[in-house]
Amino acid sequence: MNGILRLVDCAQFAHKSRNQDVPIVEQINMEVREGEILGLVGRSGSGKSSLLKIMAGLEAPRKGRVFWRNERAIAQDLEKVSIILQDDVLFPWLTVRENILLALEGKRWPKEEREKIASAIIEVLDMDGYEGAYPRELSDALEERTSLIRALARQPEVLLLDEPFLNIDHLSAENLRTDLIELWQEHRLGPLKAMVLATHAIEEAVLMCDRILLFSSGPGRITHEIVVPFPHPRNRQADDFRHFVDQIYTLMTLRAPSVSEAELALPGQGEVQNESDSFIVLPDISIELLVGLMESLNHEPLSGRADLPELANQLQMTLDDLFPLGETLQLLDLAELEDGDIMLTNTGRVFVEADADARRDIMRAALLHSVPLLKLIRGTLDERASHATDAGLFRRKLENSMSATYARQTLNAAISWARYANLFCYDEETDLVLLEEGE
Amino acid sequence: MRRDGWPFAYLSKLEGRFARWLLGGYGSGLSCCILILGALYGLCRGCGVLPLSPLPTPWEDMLWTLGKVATALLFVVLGYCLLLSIAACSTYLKRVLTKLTVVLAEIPAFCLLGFFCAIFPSFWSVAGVACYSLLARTVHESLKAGNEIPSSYLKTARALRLDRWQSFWRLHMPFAFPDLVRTVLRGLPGFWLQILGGELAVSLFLPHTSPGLGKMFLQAVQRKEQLVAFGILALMMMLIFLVQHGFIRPLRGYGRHYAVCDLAKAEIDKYNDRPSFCRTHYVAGATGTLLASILLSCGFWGFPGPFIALLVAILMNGIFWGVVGGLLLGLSMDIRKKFRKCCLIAALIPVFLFYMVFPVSYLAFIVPALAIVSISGWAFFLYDSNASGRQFVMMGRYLRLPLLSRWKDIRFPLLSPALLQAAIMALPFFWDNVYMIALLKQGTYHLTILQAHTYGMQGILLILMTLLAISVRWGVFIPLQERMSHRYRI
Repeated sequence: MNGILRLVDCAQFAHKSRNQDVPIVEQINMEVREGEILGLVGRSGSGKSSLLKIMAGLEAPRKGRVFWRNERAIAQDLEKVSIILQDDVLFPWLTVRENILLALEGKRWPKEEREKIASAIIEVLDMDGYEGAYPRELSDALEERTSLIRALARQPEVLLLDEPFLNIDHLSAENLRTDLIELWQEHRLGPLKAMVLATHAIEEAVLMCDRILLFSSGPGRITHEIVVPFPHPRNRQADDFRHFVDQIYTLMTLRAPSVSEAELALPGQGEVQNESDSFIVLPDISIELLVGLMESLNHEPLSGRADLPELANQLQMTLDDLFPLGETLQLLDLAELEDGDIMLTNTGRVFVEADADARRDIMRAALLHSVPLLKLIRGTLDERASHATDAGLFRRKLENSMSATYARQTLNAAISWARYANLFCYDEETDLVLLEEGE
Repeated sequence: MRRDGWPFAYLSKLEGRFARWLLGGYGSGLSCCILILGALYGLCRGCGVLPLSPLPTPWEDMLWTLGKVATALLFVVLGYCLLLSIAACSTYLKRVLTKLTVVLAEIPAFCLLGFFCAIFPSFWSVAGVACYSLLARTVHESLKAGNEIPSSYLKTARALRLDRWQSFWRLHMPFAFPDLVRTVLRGLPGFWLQILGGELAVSLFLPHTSPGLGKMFLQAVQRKEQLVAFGILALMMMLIFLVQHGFIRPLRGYGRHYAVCDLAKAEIDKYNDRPSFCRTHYVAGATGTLLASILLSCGFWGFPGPFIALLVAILMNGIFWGVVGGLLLGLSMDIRKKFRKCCLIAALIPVFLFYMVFPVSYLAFIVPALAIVSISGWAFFLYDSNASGRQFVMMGRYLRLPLLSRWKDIRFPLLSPALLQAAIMALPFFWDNVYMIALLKQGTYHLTILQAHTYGMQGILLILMTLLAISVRWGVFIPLQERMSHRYRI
């Protein structure tokens, strides 16, 4: 297969204050080949979206080069790439048709041609009848379908999809995936030569993609390249398929750990000097969910160990929703992920069998040991005579190593966990973190 | 292929559309036509194209006023398109224009009347002052709204490879449109004050001025013809409502199409709700307010000056809308919308004219406060669109809270952010009224400096009034409003 788009030694950095640049992705060498659907799989913050933006020409890589058909890519080349962003929106004051035509305005084609292309692509993706509807009249799934039409209307050679099915319900997502694959197989998507799908959902990637690149986090790097051996259409219930998905989960749980918070929190590594480097994004997960998962794991017949896909099935969750919970428990040393399994650690077992007060004590110890941010906040509060400090201080520290949105999410998660463990309180009105009596 | 008899069918279709437009919306198209014809006549008279007047006195004066209104609105539209096109060309220019219009929008436009009259004939001066005020505010609000676009929309526009110009007109402008309509609605009472008050004020310090309803009203009051004065007031109201029906109603209807943008903006507001002001802003604002008030009182007003007018306005409006708003809390949205409409209609009544009919000295402090009651009410109902208010009021009843607790713990937290927002909205109109009353009041320095054409003193007055407006808005009301919105947000 011919390569269309190639990234060589690419790296991207997030610009932070005080001339600090945080790497998002580095040492990226990858190629998008003609006739394939390429999957980029990794957890949130692994730089998939940044890579897509580089491929679409929306951002230039800080390091490395981008090639279009073996030539250095210029702006006109990357015009042949369409992207559907994770937070892609339809303009609510325009109808479906007007939204699609808007995408073609940038092309400066004659009006008749634009109208013709819009009508054709609307018909192909089965949206006739909805042309005059406003986005508010559409379901989430139809909005996503319209976004897809809008991206395809630009007649791209490469289509980049960033978590396109994340915000729609399971059945509608399945329907849209099937339609897209069918049209792709039948070569009905115009001049489209390749698609790149960024997702955190492994099953989705295996279902759709011909080749998958696994990414590690902080900074994002490609850890594995996997060729999916199944022809389309794929049956997600088939044993081979399940086994293949399991293998990827095993790979992900086995993969060389990224620069994690737990590692950097080890004593003697100068966390005071480099404290801002040691912060990673904390997931927006409540303690109740973590406790619930540990309790489920501890119940018979699991007795503290379970196969992740089986457990997901049992808990009526998707594997992709369960995986971050497992990772968080692993971060807190309450569970371990190994060979696609999750198992409670000794501390985890003690936690589940303890009463409420003891649980808080265990959680407090786990948080202080494994989450340097909480250790830092608690240390600051202990040092100060007033036992109070501005939360904005920590927000700013976090922003030195992550985006403002992630910094807010991380601090909120940390505060929520700290409240459970009686580590400290937070006064939202004054934006102060403080110690209360007995803490 | 075109059908047989195509031009006739087309004309018939066009005719049908025109008839629908003319008679639709309770005849707003018809009002629009009358206004355009009247405005053209007034404009021709103002420009001296029609030297002879074919109409009798009150109608002739009314059309002159309409001519000024049309000129002002025309320049607002032209200026708006021009300035926003400049802003669309470069991000730097946009930033500069945004910052510049913050200050320009704060200048009480009435203080510019003397300067305008020094350069232009009275017809253009009055229209210019009215145009300036509305233009500065609409441009500022549109540029500000452009900065509040959720990042997902901006990213999508980039992903669709829309160029700067396309993004500006296809994305920024739709997002700015609801704010634009609100700014126009909010600016209307001030606009009429500047037109009618401007005509009146110009007649006070210039010997030969263009005709108009304001001038006619002044002459009637000076001749002590109360009945004629009220007749002219009725004509003014007729003109105001004609403009409202013919221009503003269709604009509001068009604005509803873009109301969806407000919902998108509300989504990001949830995440950006940290107050950005601290105590030093209050202190700086309060000090600035006091200082500017003292300076203004010493030189122009005499004790107690505009500070007392401000306090009276805060107390009167705060208590009135605190009580009325609190009692109306929990009513259905339809009823609240009706109240909002009533307030907007009432806000268009030029209250300052009553001071001319009854020039009692203590009214000088009360009239500006009275003038902003309706516009504050309109803004209050606009911002207090909290659907869950009813639920909280009902919960208070179920919990059998004592009356005081119901007000202190439920109604006040629900009311205060909207009340402060309303106050911020009403401030520019308030300052114009304060200045207008000072001009009409005996013994103040305002009219003297206009009559003497002392532009240095007018400049000082302009700077002090602007400082006062800025320090009250940015130093006192906005920090308070941000704090309250953050504290009592739901």
